[in-house]
Amino acid sequence: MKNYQVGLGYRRDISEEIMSLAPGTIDFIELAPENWMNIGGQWKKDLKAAAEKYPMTVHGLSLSIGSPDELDIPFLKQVKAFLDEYNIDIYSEHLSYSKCDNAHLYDLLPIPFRKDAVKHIVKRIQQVQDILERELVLENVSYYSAIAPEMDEVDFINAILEESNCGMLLDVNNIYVNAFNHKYDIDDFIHRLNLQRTRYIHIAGHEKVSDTLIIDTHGQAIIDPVYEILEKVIDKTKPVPVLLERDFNFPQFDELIGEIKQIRSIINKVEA
Amino acid sequence: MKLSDETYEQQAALASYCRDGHLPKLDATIPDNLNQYRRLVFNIISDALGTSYPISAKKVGADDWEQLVDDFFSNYPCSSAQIWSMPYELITYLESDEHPIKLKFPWLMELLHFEWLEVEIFCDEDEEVHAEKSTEVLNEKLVINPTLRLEHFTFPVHKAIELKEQGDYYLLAYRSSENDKVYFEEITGFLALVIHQIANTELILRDILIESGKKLGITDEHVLLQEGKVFAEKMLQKTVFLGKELA
Repeated sequence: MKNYQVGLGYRRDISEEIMSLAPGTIDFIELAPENWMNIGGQWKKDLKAAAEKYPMTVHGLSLSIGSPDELDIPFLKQVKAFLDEYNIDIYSEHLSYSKCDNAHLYDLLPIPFRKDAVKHIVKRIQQVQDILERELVLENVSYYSAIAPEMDEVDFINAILEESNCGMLLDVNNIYVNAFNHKYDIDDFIHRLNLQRTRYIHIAGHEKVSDTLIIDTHGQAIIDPVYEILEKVIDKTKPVPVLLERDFNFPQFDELIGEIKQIRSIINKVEA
Repeated sequence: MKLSDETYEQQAALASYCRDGHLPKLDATIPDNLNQYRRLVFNIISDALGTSYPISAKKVGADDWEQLVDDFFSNYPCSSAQIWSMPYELITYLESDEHPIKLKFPWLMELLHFEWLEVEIFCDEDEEVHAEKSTEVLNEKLVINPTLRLEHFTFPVHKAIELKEQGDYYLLAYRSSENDKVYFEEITGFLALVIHQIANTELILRDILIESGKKLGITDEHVLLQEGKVFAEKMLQKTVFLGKELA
């Protein structure tokens, strides 16, 4: 995949529209392997057709890199087989945990920003990369409360990036959401974050549910301040793929294409 | 490196709260926001179960269903890494638990199973099938669609409007190899026996029909073979059978 390509999340609700897009409208698609692996029939056919039309990246949901539980090795081997089958290079996941005491929770819980958690995760990153034979790319997640922190978010992310050899998926919406919810300065966060490890960027919409809380929903249009963060970070990172995430509450498809165009125009402006 | 006890306890406490809604002592920077995690996680579970079991959810009613979802998620550690397959664990939970909802709605387990069949068969992994076109169906060893399930119910779950009338209901459930849609078909006990024999023996259809007929006291061989042939040809059309075994 060439750099600074712009992609769209491949979701079943919009799969037909994505498949009927004119060439060059989007450069790649991203999907969650958990929603497509070990499945046959129509969905397998849809996936194959999508893979023939577009390069793919995958963004996992159930790795639970920050979990106290052991890594699920059979699951990881299934992910690897899926990545190999579709010739996928970029496997990203979330810097969070979604499983604890052998129970999956199917959502992203905040890892305590603590030194022992850093060490724990760094070791697991190596295990994952060894099994997948690929770099693991981890996303800065949105969180609604820090839990028993010993450091702040940016120090936690940087420590993991510096002590491991993984890449970073920089979610610019999550920067906005977290800055709002935790009252930190966006420019300071970006300045302190180790952007050199950015391999991939996500951008999405969110929902402001109160004067003090934003929820990272991927169900609304992207707001201008989030586009502004995109502009700031791509000026500081190497060229990387940028993905528009939209998971539900789908608007007219033209609106999503409008967002794709706006992302491209920001990239063009920074590159000019 | 192993996590410290304190880090583990904090993580486990938040996860436990998401599952059962009992707020533990947590060192949270914004305690008021913790309920968002419980809400978001519970909604994901509730949505997934409601999507897989829409008829069951409607038949038991909103209050009982929500209580069931809550009990399930609080007490059962979901082991599936793929959320589409998590709802099956509700059946596993109820099978191993004396939940009062089973007494209140005696048909619920069968209805859940019926609904799950559709999801499971739709998602079944593709299997390579070795078969050739059937030319003389009575004298062939037929090849069954690998997605086929032959099910026996004691409640008419396929007619979910009225679930009171208990009896013996035999259903075929399968994914069409023509269009990948899932179909259900009610058949007689005799035909269920025939299909079971096709799936589990090396016999040709003619021998299966005669042998099955004897078991059920059907002696008119001519009618048996004639009707068996019509049924088999219909099943070939519907892709329940995919042809005959390769020579």
